[in-house]
Amino acid sequence: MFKTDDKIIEICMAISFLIVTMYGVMMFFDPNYILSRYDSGTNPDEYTMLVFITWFGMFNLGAAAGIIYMGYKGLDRAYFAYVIPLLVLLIYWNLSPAEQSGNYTGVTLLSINLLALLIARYRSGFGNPFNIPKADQMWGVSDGITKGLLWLALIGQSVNVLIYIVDPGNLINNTGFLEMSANAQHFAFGMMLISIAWIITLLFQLRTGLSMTMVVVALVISTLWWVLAMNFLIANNFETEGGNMLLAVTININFFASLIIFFRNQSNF
Amino acid sequence: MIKNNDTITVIILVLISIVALIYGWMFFNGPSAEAFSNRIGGAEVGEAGYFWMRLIGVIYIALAIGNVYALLATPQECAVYYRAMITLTFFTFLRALWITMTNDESTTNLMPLIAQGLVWLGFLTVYTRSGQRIGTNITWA
Repeated sequence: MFKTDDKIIEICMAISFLIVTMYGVMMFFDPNYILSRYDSGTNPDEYTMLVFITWFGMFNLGAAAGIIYMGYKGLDRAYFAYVIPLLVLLIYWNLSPAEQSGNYTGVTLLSINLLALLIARYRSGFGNPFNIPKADQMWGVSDGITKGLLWLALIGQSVNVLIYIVDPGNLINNTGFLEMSANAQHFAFGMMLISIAWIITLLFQLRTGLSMTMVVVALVISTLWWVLAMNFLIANNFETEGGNMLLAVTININFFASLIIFFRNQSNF
Repeated sequence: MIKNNDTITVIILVLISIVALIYGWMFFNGPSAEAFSNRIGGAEVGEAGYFWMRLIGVIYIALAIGNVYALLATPQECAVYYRAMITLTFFTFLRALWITMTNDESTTNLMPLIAQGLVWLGFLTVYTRSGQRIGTNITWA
């Protein structure tokens, strides 16, 4: 697998896959369990926590899909450009809940995941991470629609980070079903960190060319997010009261843009 | 990457996958499962009911992933999968039809019946377009 005979790479990627899949399944399908493990007795609104944990779960499942894709197609630098900075940021992000709850399992497993990916990347022969080859053209594709959507993704993620810097409580305060608290704000901070990782990998692809691994990761995440949004609408009888228009637009654009990019480019990979 | 070259088949399988994911999560998630139960007649579900709904949700999600696998394989490799799915969706459609005809409360919402029927027709179309329908390959002369 991973188009390599190096068993160490395969073992490291298997470890990474197990960790992200375990967390993805737990967070997406049973967020109550994760919440109970980190309960410091100060959660004012469990529903808000559960929503954020579910969102984090879908990002883990997206990462797992990326590893499966690379298992067939070979390791991809763009995936490492996304997940290694993200893991560093998330270890930092996880320290505070770990200190509050005394549960360092998350920090430990994130660190093991980071170490496994660093070993796999080192042994894969990708070389210096800052030596980035330049593609023939921006994004490495000639398709104008794909380029436009990728620019939109880059601008959207950058705006998300800017909104957080200007108004950290924007996401929670403008979303009716989320309630502001210190814990909820910490999750919003985590969402911003994920945006930073996406900006890094998008900039990487802007220079080196489109990565189908990251398209698959994005497609899985955005499909799950769209499914969650559809269920929210169905459960609330299609009333949009309590929703967030900007968030709804983001979820829809993410989903349809990912679908379009995937289907316009899948035959080339 | 997608080995099925028939655009209609790809569209149908993608749509069914997305619908299956929506239903899967609906059955898995407590508030969504409760809303679904209310829509089809408001029967009391209870903890045991949620347990089984979650199991059905898992099956739906697995079938959604199965459809994605079907996209990544040639139609010839998917023949058994298509036949199994036609059988499954035909039985679920018949069941939905039976429930709609016999249960007075459920007739207020025809969505489950329509959805099951469309999914069955979808798989029939996919199977027919793959050119593997049993009988069409038999020479009677």
